[in-house]
Amino acid sequence: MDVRDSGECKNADSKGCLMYHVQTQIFDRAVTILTGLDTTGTTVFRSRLHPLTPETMPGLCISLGSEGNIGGTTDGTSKAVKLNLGVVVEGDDTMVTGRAFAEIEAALYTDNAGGRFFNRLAYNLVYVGSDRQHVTSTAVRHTRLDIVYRVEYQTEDGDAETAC
Amino acid sequence: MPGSITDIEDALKARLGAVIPGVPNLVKVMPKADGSTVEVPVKIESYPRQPSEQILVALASNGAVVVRYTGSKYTPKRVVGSITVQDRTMMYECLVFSDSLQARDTGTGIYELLDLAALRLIGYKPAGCVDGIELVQDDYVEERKGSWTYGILVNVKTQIQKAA
Repeated sequence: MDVRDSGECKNADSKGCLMYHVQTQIFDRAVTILTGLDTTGTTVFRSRLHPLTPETMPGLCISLGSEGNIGGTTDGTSKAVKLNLGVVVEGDDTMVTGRAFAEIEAALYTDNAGGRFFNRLAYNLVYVGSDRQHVTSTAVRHTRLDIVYRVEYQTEDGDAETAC
Repeated sequence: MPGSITDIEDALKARLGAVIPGVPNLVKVMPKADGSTVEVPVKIESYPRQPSEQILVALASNGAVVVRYTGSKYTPKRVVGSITVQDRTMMYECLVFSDSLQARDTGTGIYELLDLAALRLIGYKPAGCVDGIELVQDDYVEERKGSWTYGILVNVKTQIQKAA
């Protein structure tokens, strides 16, 4: 997988095993699922920012946004984290961004097993909205399509590394 | 290196002198001894190394366009993963020389040469650039011994990148 800016996780326990917050596991899974789409290929950035160079377009930016408490039980908390996706395409474009949007939607909802998403980490995936802008203030005039999904998951209190 | 100062200057000169379907050539109408006229291509070259009044008057007599780089502006850098990018707006001045202002004086005048030069440059995208040429302004420069000089200022956008 040729994902640009693969951020290294520096969290490791005493045995050297990597430990991740479920939020991070969901993010990693989203990168895996969305790398290799027909339109954006391996030009995937683990960042909200895109370098805005012609050779990195079409490209896909993946980042996490805000998270909130949406309920839970006496010993567990349900959380919703925003998954922000940015498709960046050269020129004033609707066709390519629209095609990428369809591929993203299909890829995310195909990663479903037993009604759970992101390798069973999340119990719900909700489309929030999108916004398309043509940007002419940069050297490379481009179109940016921002798509937001809400990912809902639950963890036991005190154990943020295991989804339940 | 595509997109270097010299490469783009050379590309601008080539564009000004090229045969472009549907776009008139940059020529000056010269009178012949027998009373007829002949179209002579105007000189297109880089700015003289040591411009003297004699050289400038000579350029004007046959009509000429000389090109020089005047500087660049950079955006703040963007760092996305291993890629560092700055957009660069490079500015060039095309000085147009002629010994007449209007065609009625001595054949092709400087007004017509100015218009034709602008028409040849607008939107042209030299190799290594990320967007086509943008005309910024044209302006009177000087008049010496009946030799007129006007300048067209153009912008062209490139990027400076470093990938780790």
